[in-house]
Amino acid sequence: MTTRQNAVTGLVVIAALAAGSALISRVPGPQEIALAPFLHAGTVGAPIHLRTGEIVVDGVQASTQVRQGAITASTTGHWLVVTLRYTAADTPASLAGMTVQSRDGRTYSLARPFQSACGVGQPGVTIACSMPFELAPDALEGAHLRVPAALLGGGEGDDIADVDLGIDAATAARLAVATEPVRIEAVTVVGAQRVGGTP
Amino acid sequence: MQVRRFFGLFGGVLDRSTVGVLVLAVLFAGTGAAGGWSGAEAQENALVSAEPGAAVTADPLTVTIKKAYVADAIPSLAPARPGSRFVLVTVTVENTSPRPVDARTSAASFQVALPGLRQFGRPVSPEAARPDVVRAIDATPLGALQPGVVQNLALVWEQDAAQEVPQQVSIVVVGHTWRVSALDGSRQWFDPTPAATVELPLAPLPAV
Repeated sequence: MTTRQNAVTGLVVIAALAAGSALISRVPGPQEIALAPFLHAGTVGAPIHLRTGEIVVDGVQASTQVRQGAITASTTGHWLVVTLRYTAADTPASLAGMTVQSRDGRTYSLARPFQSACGVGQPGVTIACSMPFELAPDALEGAHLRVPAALLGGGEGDDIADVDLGIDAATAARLAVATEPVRIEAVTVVGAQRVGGTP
Repeated sequence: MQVRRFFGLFGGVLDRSTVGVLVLAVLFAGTGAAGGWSGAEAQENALVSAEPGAAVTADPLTVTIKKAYVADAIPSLAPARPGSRFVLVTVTVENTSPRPVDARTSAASFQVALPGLRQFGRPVSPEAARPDVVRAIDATPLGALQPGVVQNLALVWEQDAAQEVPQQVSIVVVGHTWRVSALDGSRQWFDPTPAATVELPLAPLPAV
């Protein structure tokens, strides 16, 4: 081979390596794929079965103030209060790690002072609770609630309910002007039923 | 000489230009494996000095340091404690990332350069001292900074009263990076990196 051919071969090899490296950096790795959760899509009012139990989102409210006991919390954005029912399947379980996702992919967490508003559910006993999320003003429309079956090692979780909260533009506009304080009720037992976990 | 002898062993297979290509390939691969040139770029980024009232960026936060006060006690935030005084700094913060910044990381986003800082009754270094972070809107402790929600906050540090009362204070705003933990695979805010410093006068806390 001539020197020129060698140089071209070298450049082609380097270009192929660079292209391969760029491609690999944009493709999810085996571990990422293995850790990706199972998503169960749902809507307000529809039961969603998770590995650890069943949830039903009953509705949403919004305000600039929420109250629980003696605590009143305000915000420059909006408090979105999600009310849901939960029935644990076979073992006591808690709904930890719930988040709200905005339409553009931002994630909102529960935080102090209302972090553990739902407590632990006992098998077959349906409990109802309200979860206040502090959202940016433009995050109401198209928001989804994400409920992991369980928190695993700080990751996303393995089994996740993804509930469309049904907030269209008109609903978002109505919620955005609500200022009447919303009271966060303590967790209540609302019934009993048999729920099997998904296999 | 030894290098030439080493490559001489492969003389029948590799000519000089092929060896050159291989060396280049190894150089690129090594640079990539070491994190590319991002480290070198980061080294060049000096700490930005900003004025009070100006917005500074310390990813994932945009921060405006507003005022600083000193007091022996702060109503509803810091009751009087023998042997201590308190430094209160007011800030406006917005989390510009798509995910929450937890309370621990939020507190670690601010440092104050003062001697004699105390925390939980013990002396701590300025780098290790974490302020109490309280939301101005409702006087509740900050739980998390949610994306796009602007927060006015009060940062409160405790200082040994035996130290001279400072006339001014320097606040360092520290950025963090969201990445996977090398230990347990979880995703968290890591790698605190000082991004900006703001000097401002320290005034006595006005009586309420």
